[in-house]
Amino acid sequence: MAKLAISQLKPGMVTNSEVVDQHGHTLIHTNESISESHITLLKMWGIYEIDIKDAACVLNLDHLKIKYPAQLVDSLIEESQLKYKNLEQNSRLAHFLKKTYVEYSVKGSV
Amino acid sequence: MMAVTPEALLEKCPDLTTLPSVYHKLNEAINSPSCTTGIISRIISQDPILTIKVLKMVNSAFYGFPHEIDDIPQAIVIIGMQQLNDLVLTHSIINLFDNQKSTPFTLEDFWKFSLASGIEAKILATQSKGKFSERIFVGGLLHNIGKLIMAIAEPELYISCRELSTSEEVSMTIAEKSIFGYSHVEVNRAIMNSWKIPQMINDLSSNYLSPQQSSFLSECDLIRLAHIMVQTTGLGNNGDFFIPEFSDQSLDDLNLTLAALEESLIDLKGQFSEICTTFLN
Repeated sequence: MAKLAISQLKPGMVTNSEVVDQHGHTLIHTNESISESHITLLKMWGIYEIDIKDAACVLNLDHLKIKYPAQLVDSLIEESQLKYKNLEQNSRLAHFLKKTYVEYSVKGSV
Repeated sequence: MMAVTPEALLEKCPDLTTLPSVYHKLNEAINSPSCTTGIISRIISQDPILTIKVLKMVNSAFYGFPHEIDDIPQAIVIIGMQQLNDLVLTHSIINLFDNQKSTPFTLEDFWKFSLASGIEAKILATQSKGKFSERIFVGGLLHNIGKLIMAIAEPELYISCRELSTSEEVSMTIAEKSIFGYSHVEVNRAIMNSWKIPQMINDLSSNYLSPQQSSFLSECDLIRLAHIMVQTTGLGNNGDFFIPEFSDQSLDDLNLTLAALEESLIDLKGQFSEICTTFLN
């Protein structure tokens, strides 16, 4: 887990604790996946950093999209969500395996 | 008629229920108090193909010995009788299925998956630095053998399992239970009993999904993890889409890190093709 500046946030990262405004109202729940619109709203709310799950665990495979068709990478990421559904979703192992699966599949299928 | 028990299923493929005599001769010799390297060498040398395979394996990256080993007596001294016995077992079992024409599995893909699982289990055992059974390779090799038997004995039912697994998004184990009434692990037990192979190997490979029922909990976890790793890399094919459950805690209990898993795949890649060309012609 780590406090990350809003500028470093990427869609798909998962909150490690509740994000609250200055009055203590919940803006984003714990264990919620951050979307583009969350990031825009956080900036509007004047929040500078939030607590997210281990950055190494986030399935960020943008680097593959440079070399391989983005659509293929996205469809493999989606397939991996189903394939590994029996694993605890926020576990280190699940993230590692999904990432490895997408990497191996994309290399094999092109 | 549908086979209601794993034992009845085996009756549908009688040519697969006994192992070649060389394996039993060797096993008997090893367990005899008067066993010598000479006796073992003579048994193996009677089968030239087996001799070549054993020497190829002993000299492969799988064992990673620095010097060339060029005869069976030397091989026995270096890898030990039990390991030698397991190589003969591997050769005997793969050969036994050679004449099967068509199954819902491509045999070559099934064996690639199985060999990769055995190799990966052994690599993970080494990385985990614990004290594990030497038989982990053969345990990994055989952990899905029940699937192959089911697919050969009842190909149509086995295809139905796959369809059910896809349409209902359930694991093949659940699909097998609902269509056959039992799963591949029960068929594992039955076929290994029929082959009269050591109970310990049967225990390792039939309890990979239920380690708490085994006397070798860590080995069963390692085999399940190896299964997951091989399915993730897509080496070979065992017909499953879904990955069995594995927790971060179990990974920690095995002293394995994600970096170690990543490294294991590099080792697997280095050993896999050599072992495949040795055992699969």
